[in-house]
Amino acid sequence: MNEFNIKADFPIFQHFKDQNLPFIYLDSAATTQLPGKVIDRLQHFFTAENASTNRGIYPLGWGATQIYEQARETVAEYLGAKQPEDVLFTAGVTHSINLVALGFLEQKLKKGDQVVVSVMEHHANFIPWQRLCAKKGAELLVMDIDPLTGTLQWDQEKYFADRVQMIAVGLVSNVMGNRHPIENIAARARRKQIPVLVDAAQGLSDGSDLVNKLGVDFIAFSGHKMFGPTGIGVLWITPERQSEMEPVILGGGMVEEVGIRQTVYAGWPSRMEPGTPNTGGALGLATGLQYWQEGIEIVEARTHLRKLQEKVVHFLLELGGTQVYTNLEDGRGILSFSCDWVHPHDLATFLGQKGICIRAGHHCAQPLMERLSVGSLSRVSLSYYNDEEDVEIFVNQMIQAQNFFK
Amino acid sequence: MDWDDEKLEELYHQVIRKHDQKPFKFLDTGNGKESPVVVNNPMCGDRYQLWVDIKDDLVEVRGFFGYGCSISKAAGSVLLKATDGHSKESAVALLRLFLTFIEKGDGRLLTQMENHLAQEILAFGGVQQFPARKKCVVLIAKGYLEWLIAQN
Repeated sequence: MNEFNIKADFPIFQHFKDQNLPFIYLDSAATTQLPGKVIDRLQHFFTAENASTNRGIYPLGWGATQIYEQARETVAEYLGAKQPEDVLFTAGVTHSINLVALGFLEQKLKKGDQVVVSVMEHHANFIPWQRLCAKKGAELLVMDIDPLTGTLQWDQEKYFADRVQMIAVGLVSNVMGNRHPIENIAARARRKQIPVLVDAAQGLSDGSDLVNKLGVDFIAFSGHKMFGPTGIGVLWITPERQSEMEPVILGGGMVEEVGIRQTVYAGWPSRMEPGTPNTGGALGLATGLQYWQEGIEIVEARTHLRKLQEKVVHFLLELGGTQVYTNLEDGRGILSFSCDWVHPHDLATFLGQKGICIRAGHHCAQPLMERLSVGSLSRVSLSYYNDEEDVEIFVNQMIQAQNFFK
Repeated sequence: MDWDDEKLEELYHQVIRKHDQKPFKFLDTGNGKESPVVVNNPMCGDRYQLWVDIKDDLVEVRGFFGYGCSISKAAGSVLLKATDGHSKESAVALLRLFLTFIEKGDGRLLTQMENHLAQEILAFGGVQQFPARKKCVVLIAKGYLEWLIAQN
C-alpha cells in the first residue's frame, strides 16, 4: 500500500473540501500549488517584514535585505552553487533565458555561427534563440526526438561543431515528461568549450546539487513550478561566465554611479538585478525549496509519483481511441495524450466542470506539436500532492467524458 | 464555481454537436494553396482556412477546413451556412450581431434577423457559462468578418 501523502500540507485542497466541491488538480507542470509553509511565511512577511530591499537603512529595510539575501543563500545551497552570488533572481524562466540570450550570447554570436536547441523546447527556450539567430545571421540547429518516446537524439557531431556557440535544452519536457541526458550533453560540450543552458522549469525536484550534477553553464527555473509563488525565478550562472554577461535591463539599484555622460555599473550580482527586488517572491521561492528539501522523503515521493503516472497511462491506453505521449521510464509525472473522440479543449471543458483541472492546447511547444503532427494535446501533470483518489476520479470522469462526446 | 451537468448540455447543444459532426462545406478547396483567410487561436493552436468569394455582392462559400475544437468548428459551420448566398451587407450584419451576442449575451437583435439559421446561432449562448471558450466561438467569425469588411 502506498502511504505517501502530503496533500494536507497544501491548504487549497482543504479549501475546496470545506466547500464540498471537487478539486482534482492535474496541472502542476503549469503551476504547482503552494504549501501552507510558504503561504504562512509570505503572510508574515507582508504583515510584519515588508520593505524595499537594498535601500532602507531603517531596521525594517535592513531586515528585508537580509531576508532577500538569505533567500539567495538558500537557493544557492539547494543548487550546490559555489557562492550565493552565482544566483540571480529574475521574474521566471522566460526572463532568465532572455537574459542569457541578450546579455551573454548577443555579444558573441556572429554570422555563420550556430545555436542548438531541441524540437521539444518550451517557447521560452526557443524563441529567444530563434530571434537572435535571425538577427545575427546565425543558424538555429534543432535536435530531433523519437516521436514515440520523446528521447532526444542529441549524440551527433553537428551539435558540437566549432561554429556552435550555445546549446540550450530543457531538463524535463513540459509535454512528455522526458528527462533529457543533460549531464552527457554538457560533458561533450565542455570538451569544445560550448556553453550550455538548461531550462529547469520542469524537473527541479530532481534533487539538490544540480549545479554539480549537470555541469552546465546556466540553469534557469521558476518558483511557481516548485511550490513557490509566481513572478519569481532564478538564473544560476557559473562564475566562469559571469564576466561575459552584460546587464540587459537598466535602472535603479544596479549602478555604482550615474553621471550625465556615463554610468558605472554595480558589481555582480546587483548589476544584473535592476529595480526594486521581488523580496516576497524570493522568500516564497526559497521557502518552497526548503519545504521540498526538508519536509519530503524524496525517494518515496518519486516512487509515489511514478505509480500514479503509470496508473493514468495504463488507463488511457485501455480506454481506446487514445494516443499517449510520455516516457514512463522517466516518470516525472507529466504525460500528454490525444483522443480520437474529442478535441483537447472540449475534454478540458468537460473535466473542468467536474472539478478536474487538466491542460489542453499546444503547451507553448508548437515546434513539438508540428513534429508529432498534432494540433494540440491534453496534458495531465501530476505532482507529489496528488493521490490515488485523484487518479480514480480522473479515470471515472474520463469514462463519463467518452460517453458524453462519443 | 458551479459543477452541474446542465451547463455542459447547454454548451454542447445538439445544434453544436450536429454541426461539429457534419460541418457545412468542411473541405479544402485551396488546391494546395493557402487561403487568404486564415484564423488562428494562439492560445490553443486551433487553425482554419476559409475559402469564400463575393460575386455580384453575394457571398459564395466554397469551403472551410482546418483543425479545432467542436465549438469553433460548429460556429464556423453555422455562420458560413447562414451567410452563404446572402448579400455581403447582410453577412457583415449577421456576424456583428453574433459577436455582440457572444460578448454580451443579448441575442434579441439576432432573432429579428431574417435568417433561417438565427435560431441555430442562438444555440451558442451556452458559452456564456464558459468564458474561457468564447475565443473558440468567435474564432472564425472574427476572421471572416474582417475579410468581408476588407472586400470593396
